[in-house]
Amino acid sequence: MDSIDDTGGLLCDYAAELISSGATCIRLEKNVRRMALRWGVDVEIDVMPRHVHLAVKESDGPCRTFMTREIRGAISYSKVTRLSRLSWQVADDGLTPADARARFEAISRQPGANRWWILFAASIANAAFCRLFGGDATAMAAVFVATAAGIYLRQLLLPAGCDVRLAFVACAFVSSVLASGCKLFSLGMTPDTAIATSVLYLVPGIPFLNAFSDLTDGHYVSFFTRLTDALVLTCCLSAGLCIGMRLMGVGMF
Amino acid sequence: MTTTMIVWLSVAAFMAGLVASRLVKTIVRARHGRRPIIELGSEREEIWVPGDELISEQGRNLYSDDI
Repeated sequence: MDSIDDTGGLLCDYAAELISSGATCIRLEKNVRRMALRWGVDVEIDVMPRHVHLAVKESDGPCRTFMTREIRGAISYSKVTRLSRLSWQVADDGLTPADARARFEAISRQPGANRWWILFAASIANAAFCRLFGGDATAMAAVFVATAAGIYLRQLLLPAGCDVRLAFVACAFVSSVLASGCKLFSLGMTPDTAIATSVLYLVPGIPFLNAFSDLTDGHYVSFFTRLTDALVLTCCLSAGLCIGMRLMGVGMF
Repeated sequence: MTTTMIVWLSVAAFMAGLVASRLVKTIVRARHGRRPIIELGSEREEIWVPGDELISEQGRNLYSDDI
């Protein structure tokens, strides 16, 4: 028989891992409640800006509270999918907390996507954005190179412990300056499109989407947290872009 | 025009230097860490029975009771 400490501890760690991986609050609540129902406990969840707070109660026992700090890591939809699948395995297959803990640890330890694949795929995607906004082949090539350079820099700065906001300013600056080469060397017909789209890879799209999902679900604290984070990063990328454009003598459109 | 050219060249050179230095470091590390296809190992490496002391555990008395 697993104690309420094991069950509550696992549910709290699970919730923190799920929210750190980029899940919305509605998914978090559904998954945790699904597992709790199977294990015969009642849970109440508070998603705070830096930690998850869980109150767990057995039908005839005392109420226990658990708290786990959120680890701000890379967003991973693959991890969110696996964690959601785990909650269904608990509900459908009747996994015990001990078995679920072992599977949860395995999912938590899984490495992220290959960094070179991310660099290549994001650069291609950003070049496609350039095309969508009317850029020609030269502009697309410039955006590809500028994006690859920016992402490479971000992949070096963030693991080295650099502040994420500073990294965003630096990456936006490098990408915008490199894309400005189109204008400087009179390459192609759409240099302005190349400069404008060179920093789109830095737009924090998932935090914005999750923020509005939390808003519609009534999780206002989480909404404000995610929105503030996303807005700060957007301001940082704008600052980097503006500095780059200013130094390169490009007008503000 | 000169200022913009200097800024662009500086950023481009910085990024090129960064990529080149990381590439060189990776190559050097790979060469140092490379193991030969055929090598003579120590007796411990060749004949090791599960339960024997590991090299990493050498000098540590793992079974001592007086801790």
